[in-house]
Amino acid sequence: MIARVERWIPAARTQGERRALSWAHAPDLDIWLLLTTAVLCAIGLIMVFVASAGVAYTTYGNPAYFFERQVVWLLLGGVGLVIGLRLDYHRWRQLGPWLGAASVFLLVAVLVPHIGVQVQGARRWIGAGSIEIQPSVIAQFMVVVFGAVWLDQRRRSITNLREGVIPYAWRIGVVAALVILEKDLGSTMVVAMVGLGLLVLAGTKLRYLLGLAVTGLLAGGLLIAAEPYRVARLLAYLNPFAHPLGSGFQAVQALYAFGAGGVFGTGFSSPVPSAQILPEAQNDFIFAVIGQDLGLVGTLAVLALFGVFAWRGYQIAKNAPDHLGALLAGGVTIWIVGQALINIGGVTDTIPSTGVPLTFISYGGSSMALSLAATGILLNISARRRRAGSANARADHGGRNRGPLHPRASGR
Amino acid sequence: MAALSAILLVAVFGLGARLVELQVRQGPQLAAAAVSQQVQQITIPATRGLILDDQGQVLAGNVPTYDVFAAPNQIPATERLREATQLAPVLNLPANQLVQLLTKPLAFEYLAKGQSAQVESQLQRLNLAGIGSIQGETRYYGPGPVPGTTLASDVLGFVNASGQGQYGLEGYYNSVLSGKAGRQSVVNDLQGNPVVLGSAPQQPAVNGRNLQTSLDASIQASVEKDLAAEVKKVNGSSGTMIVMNVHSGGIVAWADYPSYNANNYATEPVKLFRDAGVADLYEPGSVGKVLTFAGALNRHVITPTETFDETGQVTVQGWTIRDWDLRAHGVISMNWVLEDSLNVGAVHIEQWEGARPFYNNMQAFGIGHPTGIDLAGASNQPLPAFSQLQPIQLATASFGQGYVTTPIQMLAAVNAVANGGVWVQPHVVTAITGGGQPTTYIKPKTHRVISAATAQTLSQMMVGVVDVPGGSGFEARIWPTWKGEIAGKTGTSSVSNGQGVYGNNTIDSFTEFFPASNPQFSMLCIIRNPQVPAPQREGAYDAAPTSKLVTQQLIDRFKLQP
Repeated sequence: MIARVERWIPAARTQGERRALSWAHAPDLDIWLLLTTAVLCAIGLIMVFVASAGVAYTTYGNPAYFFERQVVWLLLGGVGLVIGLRLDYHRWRQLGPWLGAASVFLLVAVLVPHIGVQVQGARRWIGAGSIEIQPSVIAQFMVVVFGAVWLDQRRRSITNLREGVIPYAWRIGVVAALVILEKDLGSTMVVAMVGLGLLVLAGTKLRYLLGLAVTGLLAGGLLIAAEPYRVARLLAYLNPFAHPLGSGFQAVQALYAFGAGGVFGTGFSSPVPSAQILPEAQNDFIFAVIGQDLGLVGTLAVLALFGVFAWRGYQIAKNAPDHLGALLAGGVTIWIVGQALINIGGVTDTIPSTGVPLTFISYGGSSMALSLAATGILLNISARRRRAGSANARADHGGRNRGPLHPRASGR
Repeated sequence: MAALSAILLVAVFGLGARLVELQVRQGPQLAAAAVSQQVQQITIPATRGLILDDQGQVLAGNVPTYDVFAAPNQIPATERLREATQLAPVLNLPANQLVQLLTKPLAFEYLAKGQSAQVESQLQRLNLAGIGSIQGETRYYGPGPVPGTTLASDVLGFVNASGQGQYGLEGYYNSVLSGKAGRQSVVNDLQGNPVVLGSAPQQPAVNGRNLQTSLDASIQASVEKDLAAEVKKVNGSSGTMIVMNVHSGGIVAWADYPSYNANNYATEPVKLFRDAGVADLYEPGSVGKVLTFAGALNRHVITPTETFDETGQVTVQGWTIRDWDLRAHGVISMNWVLEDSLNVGAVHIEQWEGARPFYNNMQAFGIGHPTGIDLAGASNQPLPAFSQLQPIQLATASFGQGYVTTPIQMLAAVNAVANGGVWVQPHVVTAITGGGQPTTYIKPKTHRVISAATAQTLSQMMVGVVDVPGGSGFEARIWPTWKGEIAGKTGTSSVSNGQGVYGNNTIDSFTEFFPASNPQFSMLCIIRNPQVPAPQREGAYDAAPTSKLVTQQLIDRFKLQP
């Protein structure tokens, strides 16, 4: 498979360039980004085991049940990362539309009974044995890639409402609507966030952005009002202690866990029950388990790691060889870091909890695998960053780079 | 891009500040609140399956018990003393200890577990807020005929405090009987107010399945009573008696003496739990001659009436084997060898038949092979490989010494003779019922060991053991009604110290099946280490009369006609 991928690197036409781009010999590969990702995944692996061992033992008789599956997904994610890294990111121009079509197909398929698996009232998984994938996660990945490709192709009309903004908005809107049909508000928010973020990076006008943002907020408000459990979640956010054993239970337990952890944490064999009884401890609320077991030191470390990821992502986008690279790098960074911050905000009861995973750390296969694949794309772009006289700078063969190599935000 | 970076920066620092707020500033307060909640889910015990006898009578059942709890954080501080004072006499706990429990900053705390229905009804009358009880159950076994025991305790086993079946059927079928416990997060106090412990969904318990057995409570009771009486009479150390249905292999009664009170297992000596019927390895003694005769008759090596000169001793590899009476018996028939239980005759039969066929015959009767009976704790000792056997070992094996077997292995072997030559796997459970699943019927394994004709011939020879005056089983006869219908064989084995040195202790036994013309029941009675003068210290004088009593019970109970 790796050999086939290598043939997809048209940019490196000479032997020297090919070597420069190959995985082992990429001198410009952003090693900090790779390290940060690896550390986050390692923390995730440990914390998934710690948070899930009890539940896994009582439910499956095997304390490592979730841990073992996380390892498998991590290996799949590793393959995804290598593919993203070795595949010239310009190839996504051709792959983008197919990916978009496949993702829309999956989003529709999951709504069909017998194909989609219903879990706790939400139909968002496509199951095959013990491995279930979430099409909404694939949709997020697709919005990053397809959005970047589309905006790159229409870059001249991006300040035009009718030819640029509206066609883009309805495409993102269709995906968001399909995700909403899966009762997945968290993923919808992520889709909207990435969609808007890409538009900012592409340099559209501020008033269009504001208009879209207001539309999105109104739609979000309606969607919340339509589902009783979302209203309950919102109220639980506003005052979780009003129903500490009902709708506020998860939020309260998470806050208890953070409090119990203090500065240095209670360690992994804590007698304080919060982390053990926290629903979905290994999934969306894993950050609270980190808060209890590893304390403020652990939570700030994770936050800082995402900060490093954002910083490296920003640098890669800034130094990207072309417009597409900048959009892709920015989109991937917004997706990965933004999702993590939304999760942390929700778990700490800073913003309403929406049920998005903590990137690289939460248990949850397809999200982890695709986040790693997206990181691979980011690394691929980093290996081609602009450098005076370097082979990589010349490697951009698109010949369409007459415009600014990277956009300035809204021209402001 | 700068704007986006700024937003990210603000978010990261904002969340960092929020974490400091949560983990440092509010930390101690939240931590204290976290510790105050402990129990989140209550286990709802599954109802353990019943064990029933052949008439549907409950041998092992359940009685409700109650775990009394408090929801201290729902009891106003001003009410604590009043509630504690009212609870103290009911729960038989000091009031000040109860006040302490009620003062804990907890959502849930057990006050007393395993309370009786009487305590529960008193609690219901008190009707206190923040106090409740959760119903569970404990295993209950009916009383046995011997004081201080429960009926059939050795075959049933018991259930320990953590709900695990131990020994006997409870141990063997634990997973079938136990079901699966459920969980709930909301319980009600005495006033019906919910005590919410957590948000995890309720999971109902799955009840266990019932065991339908072939045991018969009334026969079981008489076997226990008669066995205990005989062991005490001869001042023996212990006894075992098993009654089996000849054709089905179903166990009708199964008793060990001394036995124990399964309702009170915690205070009983552990050594009583061992079920001698499956666990004890012993040398069967002359009962083993049944197998020697069966093999030789089946291969037409001997006939019942053929005669030979019995000299009273035989020498094998330098060892001299004598008869029990140390006499020479002259020219006698094979019938008389069995009736008078003559070791020298048995050795000759083994030698005439040949070592290899003799050995194969023992294997075919299941000596050294687990019977597969459905009771926990079964022992087995395989016979030595044929190549390792010395002629002297085969010679002693012909009269049931020098090898070990369990009582149930021996009974199953003799039962094959009763069952027309077909060995049938002994088993206690006939069907597994209930639990919302279709009934599972237990089908025992069978295999033919000797021909039906051989079985018939040997049965008649064994009738002689009981009916012929001077026969060793004469004490088991029921004359005149059942003359010619009781087939038996006595055994009195010397007890080895484990190193091949035999002392004065004996294991007396008697095996029997009847009616000989159409066998229905087989049985084996074993009395260990009787301490009476030598002539009476034999299976003929203790195990045989006990078997007779049980036979009469069986005849009455199942209305058998001669």
